Amino acid sequence: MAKMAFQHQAGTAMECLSIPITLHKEIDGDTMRCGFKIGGGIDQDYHKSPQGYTDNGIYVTEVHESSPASRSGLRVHDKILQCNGYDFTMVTHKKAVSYIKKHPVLNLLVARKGVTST
Amino acid sequence: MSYMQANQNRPMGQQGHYQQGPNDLPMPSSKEQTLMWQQNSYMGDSGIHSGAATQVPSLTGKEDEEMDLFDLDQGYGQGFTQDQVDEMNNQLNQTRSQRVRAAMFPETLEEGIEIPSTQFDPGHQTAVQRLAEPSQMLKHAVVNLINYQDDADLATRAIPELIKLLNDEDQVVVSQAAMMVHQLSKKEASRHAIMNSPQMVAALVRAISNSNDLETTKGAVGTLHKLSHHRQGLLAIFKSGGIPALVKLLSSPVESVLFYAITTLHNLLLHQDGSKMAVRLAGGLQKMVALLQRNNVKFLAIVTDCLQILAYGNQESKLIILASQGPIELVRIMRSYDYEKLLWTTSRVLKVLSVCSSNKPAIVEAGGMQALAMHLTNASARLVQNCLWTLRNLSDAATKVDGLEALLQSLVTVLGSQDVNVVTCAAGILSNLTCNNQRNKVTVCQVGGVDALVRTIVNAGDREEITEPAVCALRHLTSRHVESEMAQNAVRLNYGVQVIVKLLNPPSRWPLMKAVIGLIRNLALCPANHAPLREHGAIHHLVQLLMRAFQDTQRRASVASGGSNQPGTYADGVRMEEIIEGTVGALHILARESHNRAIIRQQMVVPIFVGLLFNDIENIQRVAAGVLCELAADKEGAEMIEQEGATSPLTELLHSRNEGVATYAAAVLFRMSEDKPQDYKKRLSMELTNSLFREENLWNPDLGIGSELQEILSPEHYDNLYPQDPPSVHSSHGSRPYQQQGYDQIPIDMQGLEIGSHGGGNGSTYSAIDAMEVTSGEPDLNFDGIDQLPTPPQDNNQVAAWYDTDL
Repeated sequence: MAKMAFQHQAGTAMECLSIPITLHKEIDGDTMRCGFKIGGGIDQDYHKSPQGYTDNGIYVTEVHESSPASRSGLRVHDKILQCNGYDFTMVTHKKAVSYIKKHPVLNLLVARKGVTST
Repeated sequence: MSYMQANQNRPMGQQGHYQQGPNDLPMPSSKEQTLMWQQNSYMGDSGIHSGAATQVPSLTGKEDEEMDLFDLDQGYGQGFTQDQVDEMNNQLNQTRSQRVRAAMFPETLEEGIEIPSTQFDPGHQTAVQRLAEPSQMLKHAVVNLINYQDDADLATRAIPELIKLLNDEDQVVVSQAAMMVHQLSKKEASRHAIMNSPQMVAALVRAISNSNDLETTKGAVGTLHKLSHHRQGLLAIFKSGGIPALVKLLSSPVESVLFYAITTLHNLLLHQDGSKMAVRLAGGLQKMVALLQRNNVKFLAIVTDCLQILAYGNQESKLIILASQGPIELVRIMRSYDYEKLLWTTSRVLKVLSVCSSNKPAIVEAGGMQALAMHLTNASARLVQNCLWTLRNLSDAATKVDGLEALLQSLVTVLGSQDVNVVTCAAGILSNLTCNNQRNKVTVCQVGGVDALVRTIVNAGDREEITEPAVCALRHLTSRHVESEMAQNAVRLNYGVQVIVKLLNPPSRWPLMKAVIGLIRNLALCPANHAPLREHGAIHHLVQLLMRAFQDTQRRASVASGGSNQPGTYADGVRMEEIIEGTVGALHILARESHNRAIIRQQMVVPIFVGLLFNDIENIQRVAAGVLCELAADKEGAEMIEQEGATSPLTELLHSRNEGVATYAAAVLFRMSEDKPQDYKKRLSMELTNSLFREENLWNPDLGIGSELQEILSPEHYDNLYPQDPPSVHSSHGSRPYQQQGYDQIPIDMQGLEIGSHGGGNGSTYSAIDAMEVTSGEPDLNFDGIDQLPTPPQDNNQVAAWYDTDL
């Protein structure tokens, strides 16, 4: 079960422990900033990820220092399972980006290697 | 073995039968006829034609006058009186119709009758004589037509009766009927009548399926075999469900039945749409693989061709052949026989199977590499080419195989071939087999492979399909084995350095340049190569490539952080990160030499090296720290590095989990501190100790002792770092996945090289195989200026790459 979170086949049932994270974006006029990068999605080839990810999930590839993301406790290489109730284990990269951009507050569920699984 | 010719040499639709017809009849050849006629000549010719030599123009066109004219010229000298001449003319006129009849219908002549011939000169035939042969042929044609009509009529009348008999309950009756149909099918006309009757074909198929009687089976399958030479016949067999019945006969213990069945199936597979699927569904593949154990070479050639047609482009068939132990049998055939056609058809099956990832290891394990290697010196070009294609497809799965010495030797020999396809394949195979295999590397070096590869590269000019694999092979041969130093020297001694450096220029494309960069890095391991590499401008070219690639990644990074989704760009399947890693790695090795260091310092690349310390990819950090480490050996270099603000990133890298990165970073910092005050050194020493002491015994805590650090950073140490490297930058190389592992790459899996097998549709014929098209079309970029490098594509959506988005 533990392994499944990071070698998940998109579309199949999965059960794993997750960490809830609430992220309040930094609002500057029209733009909202989270302070992290995501990579992956079902339209990308994870074999080519320099980080060596093992499935088509959405991964946090970078967390900027002293950003809303770092304050929220989000860490690099976290796998985002859900965002504001929306399933992230089978989304295209673009969809994931648009969901994250939608709201000023993000309620995320993430899986983290060595924490939610070994 | 007439079935062989019938099947393979005669294309469908060519009606050989009519041509054979007249020859069956007892008709003398034209030469014999001429002789016969000459023997029959009793008198002098009229002279019309024999006199042609005199060039007398015919004025009147009337035979008699013309002849008179002729006689006036010559006749009088012989002393004939006018009466005599008149009588002769008269006689000739009277017998003319006889002569014509004798020419056209010699059989109507009464025996003993003598007809005076008009032949005057035995060297020239008379008009009537010349007419004889075509008129005889015409007569025979008419006779044949009449007979043909008779056959057709007869068969048409007999067929309903024969169908009834074939369906009779009495096996003896059925057997007799089948034999009679077989006899009928041997004649052209009745054969057409048979294939025009669906009921008849169905009855034959039924007879095959139901009967246990050998004669019935033989007669029925013999008939189907005859029908299978006609498109219409094939269709009739196919529609009547003949394929399952024929497949069943493949288990027959009787050789003639077996031969009829396999050749009929072969004809169906070649020319009848839908047959392939029907044979597969009827379990034909399993039976055919089982037949591979027989020992009639011509029979085996047909079986293997059937297998090739069935397996081509059909993964399921390939797996069935594998499950039936096909690879073992096919390899055994390649080892055991010398009949060219069989070897060729078998190599084509192996070629088709060799692109299947499941069959590949099975073929290799069955000794396929060695068996195919046996034929590389064969005189048959088509056999050699198919063996080479197969070997290339297999070669990435055969890097751990022993006993390839003979193959490697042959490959080095065929590198000298004039045939571009042969050289391309040989270079590709050598590249794969020398990858990470020390024994093969040593063997290739010992048989003069380095010399041959350098010559190949020189001769190939800008044909990248050859230069790329050849450069890759040289790159493998110049590192990590006991003869590598010899190979590094041999490249130089064969005047290869100049040619290789030149390949860094346009029109080379990125995959080739990447390979060349790696080769230059390896060549630089040999101190004697430093001067030639420098003199031919290697450093300049490498720096240019580095700057180009670096700018590209920078620009992409800035675009990506601007919010738009920019995919990781590939140029011909090469990522710019790979070029950065490669060029910096090569410069790192070149920088071991002081003249080279001086040149590198002048090229304004130190800021880039320092910038690369921040790169996300560990291997790039390592090569950047490595080249800085070398550059810091000179005071000027150390100062430049410090001015670029390298101290802070280097200090950070001391904590890298990559041992190589941390070691190089420490070494740069140490060298930069050479002329610093004592307390700075002390602080640095503390820092180094704290960060590096975790590496067990690798580091002496007392870093104050410079000599020990020097020893740790000795060239041997650098080299040993390489094999431990994890794969760094991944790239996809068009249709051929590359995975970089240090500088010795994983061999290329040449998928999709089911070349030249069929043009689809009706599948294989014994026609010539198309030459392999390796050229991948025009590069999407123009290389106009000589200094211009290919621009990395800006928006390459073809590859679903990995990228991330800043939020």
